[in-house]
Amino acid sequence: MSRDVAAMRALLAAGVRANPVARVEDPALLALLDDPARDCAFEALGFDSLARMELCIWLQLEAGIEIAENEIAEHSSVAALAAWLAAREP
Amino acid sequence: MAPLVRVGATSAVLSQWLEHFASTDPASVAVVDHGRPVRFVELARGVRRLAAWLLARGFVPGDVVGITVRAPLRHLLTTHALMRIGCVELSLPSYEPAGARATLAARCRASCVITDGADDDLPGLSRVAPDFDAVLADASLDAAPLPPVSRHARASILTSSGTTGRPKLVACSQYQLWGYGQPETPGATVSLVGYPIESNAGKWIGLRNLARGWTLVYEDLERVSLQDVVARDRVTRVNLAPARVEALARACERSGPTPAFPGVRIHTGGAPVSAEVRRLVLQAVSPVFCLHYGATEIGLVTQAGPDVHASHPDSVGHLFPGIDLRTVDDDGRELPPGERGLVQVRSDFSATAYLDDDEASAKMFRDGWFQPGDVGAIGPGGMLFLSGRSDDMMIMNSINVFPAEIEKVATGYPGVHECAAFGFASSAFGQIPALAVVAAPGLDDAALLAWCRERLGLRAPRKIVRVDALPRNALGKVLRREIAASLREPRE
Repeated sequence: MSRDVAAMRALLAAGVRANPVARVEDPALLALLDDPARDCAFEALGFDSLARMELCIWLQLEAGIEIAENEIAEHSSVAALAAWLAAREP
Repeated sequence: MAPLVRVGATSAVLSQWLEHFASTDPASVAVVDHGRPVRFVELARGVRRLAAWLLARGFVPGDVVGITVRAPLRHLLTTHALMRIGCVELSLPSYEPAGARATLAARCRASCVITDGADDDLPGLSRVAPDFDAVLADASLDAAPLPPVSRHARASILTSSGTTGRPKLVACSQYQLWGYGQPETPGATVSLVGYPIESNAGKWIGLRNLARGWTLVYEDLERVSLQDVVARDRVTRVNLAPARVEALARACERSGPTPAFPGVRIHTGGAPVSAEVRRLVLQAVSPVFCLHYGATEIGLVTQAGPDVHASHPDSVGHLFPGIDLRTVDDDGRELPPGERGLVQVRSDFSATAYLDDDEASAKMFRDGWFQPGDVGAIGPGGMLFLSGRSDDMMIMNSINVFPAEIEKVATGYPGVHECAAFGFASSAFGQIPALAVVAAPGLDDAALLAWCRERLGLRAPRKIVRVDALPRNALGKVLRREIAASLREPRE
């Protein structure tokens, strides 16, 4: 059974908010991030490879999800990554 | 590199020092045993009589003999008497469970155990229970000849306290025991050693102090307060484990604004002491506070006194004379001063191997150097700065992260009472640094993480774990692996 895509998207949004490298402060971006009906590009969030690594660490520590940095890089947006992870995670 | 200074040229068999002080000053006091003074004359005579009694019981040089004797004066006499006849003394501490004592005795091939308790029998080991009062009063033993003993013969087996696993066994001679503590403050010293004589530290610090002609004070600090003992016996020097020094400082701080023990030197070692605690001890306990770095395998290596606390409170201080120290890289190549690497030390008094552990011997004794497993750098004026234990070091994405650097930063955050960094195992990253925190109510984890990130960058902890207390061993060392093990699985 797959994890719910919406739950995964919410989890990723929390991970993005906690990211110590790409600190998102723009209210419009934060609103976008928190709206399950919309999507948000990692590029717009200011994610670089360091920020992706921190998201990997956060996902492992907080959710037990192991994912490599390049796997995040292959997905351009939060929703795309959420869909991919939801399908992958048991 | 400085040439090796040989300090031990004048050392002798330890009991000869007792005889020496007995003859040069017959009134001088060797031990104050729970308030009762025992002169060097009496102590030296007691050692001779007990040694003669043991000889008559068939003990021969080279025998490894366990000691489970609680009363400190009797334990001291037994240790000295065994060494005097060339036996190898081994503490089998009464506070260890019988199973652990039996294992230790078997590893050391002990032939018997000398005890002062009825229920200290160990399976497979004969038990000898001297009537101490009768032996010490028996003048007929004075005529018995005692054999000559070499100061370089094996005399004692100490256990090196690891934070995990079984203890390593360090055999040492009386010469090594003598030199363990390095030259010290001259002059009359009344010394209270706040470790049981059944423990390594309690034993060698006591033997060292007596061999310098100092007075040893034995008292039960559960029963009599430190203040009372210091006043009653005119104690001038106290050795305490770091956790006890800190507890003492916090208690003294509550009771007044000036040092509670202004005339007493306070010595500690065995675990790091933070800048904050150093300041507190100097201000609340005594203006003379010394921190030592050393190891059972080699004795004391450095000392940080008040001058070091003032200028470099993150240093363990200067080398003692007779000690060589260098840092090397992972391949054993010597590094220039200032570069961080594995600490290696050597001295005339160092052990050269462990007794029954070739693997650990090969790892920790290399080319005449002892490598304790600490990582550090030699700084200005030859001061040593330790980063942490090489086996505590975390490697995250090939970045070396030391718990000590994280803890130093986190301790500066308001509301963090105590903390210990440790690694979460990760197949992708190696180890992810995390921080266990004993915190005041209301501490904001996210704000603490951000504070650390600002100061440590990639070496910052990624997660805060709240705990009620940090697990520690008897010396006060934090058991990081226990924290990591108790949290092995990340939260789902």
